[in-house]
Amino acid sequence: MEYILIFISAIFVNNIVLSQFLGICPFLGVSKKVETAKGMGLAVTFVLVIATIVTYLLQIWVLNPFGLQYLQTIVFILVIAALVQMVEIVLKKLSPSLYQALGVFLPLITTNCCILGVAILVANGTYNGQGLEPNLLTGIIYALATALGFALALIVFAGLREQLSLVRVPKGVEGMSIALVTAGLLALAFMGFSGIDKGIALFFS
Amino acid sequence: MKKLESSLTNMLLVLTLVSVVAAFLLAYVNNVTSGTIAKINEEALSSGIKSVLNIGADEQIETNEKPVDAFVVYEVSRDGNWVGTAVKSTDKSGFGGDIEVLVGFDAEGNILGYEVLKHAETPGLGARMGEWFRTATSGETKEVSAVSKVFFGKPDPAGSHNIIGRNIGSEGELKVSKDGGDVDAITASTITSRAFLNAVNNAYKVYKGNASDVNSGATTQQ
Amino acid sequence: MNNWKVFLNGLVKENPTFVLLLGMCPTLGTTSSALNGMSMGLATTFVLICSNIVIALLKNLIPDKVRIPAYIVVIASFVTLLQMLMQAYLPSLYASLGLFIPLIVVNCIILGRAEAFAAKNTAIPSLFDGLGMGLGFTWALTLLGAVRELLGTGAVFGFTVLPSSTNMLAFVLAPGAFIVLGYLIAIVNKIKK
Repeated sequence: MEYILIFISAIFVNNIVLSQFLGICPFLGVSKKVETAKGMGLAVTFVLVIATIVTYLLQIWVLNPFGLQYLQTIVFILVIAALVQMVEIVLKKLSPSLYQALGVFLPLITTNCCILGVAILVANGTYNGQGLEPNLLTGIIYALATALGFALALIVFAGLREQLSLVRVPKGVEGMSIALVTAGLLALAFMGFSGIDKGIALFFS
Repeated sequence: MKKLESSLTNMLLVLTLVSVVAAFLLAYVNNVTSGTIAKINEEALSSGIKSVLNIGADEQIETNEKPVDAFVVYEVSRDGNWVGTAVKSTDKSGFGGDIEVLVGFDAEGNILGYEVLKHAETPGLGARMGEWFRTATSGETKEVSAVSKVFFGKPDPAGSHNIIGRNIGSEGELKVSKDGGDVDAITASTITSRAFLNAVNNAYKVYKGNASDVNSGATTQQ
Repeated sequence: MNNWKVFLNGLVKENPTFVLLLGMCPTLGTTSSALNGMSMGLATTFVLICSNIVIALLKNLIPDKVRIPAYIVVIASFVTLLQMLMQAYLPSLYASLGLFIPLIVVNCIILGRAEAFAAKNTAIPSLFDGLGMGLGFTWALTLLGAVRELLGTGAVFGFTVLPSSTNMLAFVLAPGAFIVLGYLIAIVNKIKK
């Protein structure tokens, strides 16, 4: 039950982009077309889950036992950068079709702050686990749910922007300005989900 | 100076060198600051304990720390005489995650004060709990139109939301008015208020020595 | 004179927030009040200046193919340094900025300036570039924070200026961040033309 709650909370209530402000750069940068948004969403989901597992194990087996917590930021970002490279190489060999779909987005992901952000949250156990103990399984579920929330926000926003490009807007607010206001309204709409996870928890308890 | 070539040895050498220098630098700074950080955390805790027990900031106290399950009980004494007990209590059902509060009790079990140690509630809404539950209300409700409710939020309720001086033992558990209690929830933040009061109720049970009765958060809401 | 131009460039003409649209996560995430926005801006400025200088000094020692990981190590070291110093000497500020301090590492402004400026120039101009870009980021964040704080809580830097009946909470929360930034960019566009 709690696992479902993690999904609902991370996708709708505490959406990583629209309420936590992580991963804004790709959210604004690759949201002009729904097709590219789908690719980016998939690539982020893929890398985020793998990166979370690797960094969590590193934290538990290497950083914590040796008292090296202060190297967390530096180690995590290097691991993520290396991981992205590796995923790129492996994908190219194993699944050229998937590589075709994700290839262009992979290099962009290193500087996507939602990857490092979620990795740090999971490694420190400071994410909202709906009352579950922070361990590897909850961490993976949380990472997956967060990534799906990112993908949802990105695809919905891309849909809005596709429509937006067809209408005439005042000259001053053209481009990024109107896109940001639209994102604000989308965030406002997502606020409507606030508290829904607690409601479902009540319903089933 | 000419730029170094991208040969394998050069690349490995430079990367290793940069990383090693960075690691040593950070280890050194960590060494210097870790003492200060530990001291600050300790001071924050001790000033929190003093504030929830109404003890002056510069008075000398002795604290006896005792973990009970997920709680921590601090028996505080001054010059060898017990003056009060502070309980650190965490509730996992906050709106944004865990809420950690420190609650001070006197010999009769009256709440002397509280301090929110850690939370991730919404600023301007749930985050107001740090002040909300210790301030008396203005006492008057303003009638507002539906339009201004949407744009400017609901006015704060006129009822009581001060929990200082309350006694959970003789008055029963603290509950928000929506759940049939008499504590007004923070405007538009019932979930935060419930979680906060649950943490306070649990702190009281631990203080009374009934740690086995505590509610584990998510199951407490009706 | 040239350094002065480099400095002004980041402050106005190529303002990282309003013109280049870089580093959006901290821009939106930490500006729920003017003070938080300013602190985040200054923290980023510190890292930007330090990493710009060090990278400008080391640029000839770093082979081209490994320059990105090397730059990331330099930047991450300064971020961790800042993190530890803030934890020790400004604990309340550290608590309110939280996760966004380690995330300075992935702020595109810093790696972007390292690539675009520090890797091609000497230490002194790089310092001015870092200072200009950093302060440009800082004033943008402070302005955004001040507007959101004013509309949301009726205060600026904690000083109440509007009665509480005019507070529009949405501006302190997530949607307000997007909307205020959108309109500020529109105003900057208008002024520039």
